[in-house]
Amino acid sequence: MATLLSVERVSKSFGAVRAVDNLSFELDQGEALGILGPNGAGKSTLFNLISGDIRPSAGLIRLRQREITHLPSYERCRLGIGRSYQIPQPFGRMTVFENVLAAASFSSGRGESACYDLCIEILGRAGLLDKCNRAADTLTLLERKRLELARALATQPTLLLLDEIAGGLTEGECHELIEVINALRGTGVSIVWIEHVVHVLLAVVDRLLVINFGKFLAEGEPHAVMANAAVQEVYMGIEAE
Amino acid sequence: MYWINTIIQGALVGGLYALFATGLSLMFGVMRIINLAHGDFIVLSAYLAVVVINCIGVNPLVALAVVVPLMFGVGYLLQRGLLNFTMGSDILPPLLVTFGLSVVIQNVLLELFSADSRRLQLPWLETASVRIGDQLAIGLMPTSVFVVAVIVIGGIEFMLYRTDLGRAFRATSDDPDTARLYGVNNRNIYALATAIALAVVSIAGVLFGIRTIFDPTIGPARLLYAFEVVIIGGLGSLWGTLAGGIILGVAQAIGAAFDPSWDTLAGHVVFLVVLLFRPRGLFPKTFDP
Repeated sequence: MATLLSVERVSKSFGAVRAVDNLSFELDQGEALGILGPNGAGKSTLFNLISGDIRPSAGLIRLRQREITHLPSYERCRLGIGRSYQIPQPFGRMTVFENVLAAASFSSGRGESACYDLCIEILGRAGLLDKCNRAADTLTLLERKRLELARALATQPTLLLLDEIAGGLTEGECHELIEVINALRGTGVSIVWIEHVVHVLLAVVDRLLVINFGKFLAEGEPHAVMANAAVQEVYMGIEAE
Repeated sequence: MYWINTIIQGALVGGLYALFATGLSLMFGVMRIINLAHGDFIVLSAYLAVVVINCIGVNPLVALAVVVPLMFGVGYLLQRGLLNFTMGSDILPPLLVTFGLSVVIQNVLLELFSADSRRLQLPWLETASVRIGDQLAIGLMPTSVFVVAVIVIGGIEFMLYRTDLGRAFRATSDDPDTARLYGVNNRNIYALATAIALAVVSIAGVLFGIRTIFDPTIGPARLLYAFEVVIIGGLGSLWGTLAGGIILGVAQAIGAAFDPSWDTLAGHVVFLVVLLFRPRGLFPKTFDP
């Protein structure tokens, strides 16, 4: 399998705090990678580095062998990196449809009318079709999370970064989410997923990384990683799942 | 009849004030930049029209065909080359820079064109009117200006709510960082916003120059009108801005009907009253927070 994303010895410091400390990993085309770690372990910072919200203090990031370490986030989006935030940040004064439409047309550079079908299809999959014309800031938290995912999908990513999208969902909703994500994988999208809801993560990912204090604690086949003593020590009592 | 006439004249002038305010409103709405040089760009456009008219001997309305694209370009470069570097969480740098621009533009115009008053001549249209009854005459020029204002504002509203560029403006206005994540190049979007704002300003400037005399120092007073119109109308709503323009225009006309020296004062008083009782303006809407 061809390597899609490679993160090479990347570090990011905020003042004296090393949020991400010399991390390296690769992601193959079509692979789904899960990232676990306690709060403050540097997971979201890692996503910010990959999506281009912030620049690393050291290290390289490549997408399909091309170095993107210093590319602005809008160009990374156009190269196929899609992202959903942990806290949904819809464009509140735009309608749900406009949110998705904007993402679809900006990211592809296509005219809006060329994106209508895609948007309707994605909104259908996200279960938001009936909320199409509502202003996004009137949505409930769950709906916002769905919109966040729909908007990321509208950019038609080859690499999708999911930041804690299962948090706060009911069992049934988690199930639906797993189906949506697995269906996505079927279309060849590679996924990096940060999640605290471990059983949801395990239902999807091929490989698991555990981060603590900005460094790798463990990496490998998901169930083996979960059985790892160091991981259990960090997680025991923190996650009931 | 006298009062109806006064109100109609005032309302028609309001169209011009709304045009003044539209560019200001757009820049603030998309970027939270308060452009203190706004009035001076109005005057600059009028002088550009003077140059175009002198060079190629056309009438002011034809000169618009040169001045508008020129100011669009000026706006794009101004944002890309200067104002983008002033933007951030602090609102002070853009204020200081545009204030500086205001001083620079005034002095450059003074140097190039002297302090003499100018006017853009449009022989027939500026005096033509339609007489309704024996006391009511509606000038063709003020009516045309008003119609232009409605068309421009309608066009910008359409752009904001019906086109991808407009959605990019609104998305960026809402949350620039997230918009970037969905493929929006903010710096380009900001530059286009300023370009469109200055294109509108240039239309306002030329129409203003046809209507009345101008000299290099009158920019700040136009900025004040533009501010008042935006505040009266309510932030973020361009139709509100048109209403604000009409209200300011009518207030000034009524003030002037009592005593010619009261026109500006009457406008300020109405502005203060609105600010006192409806601090968010008469028709607050959004695309701002």
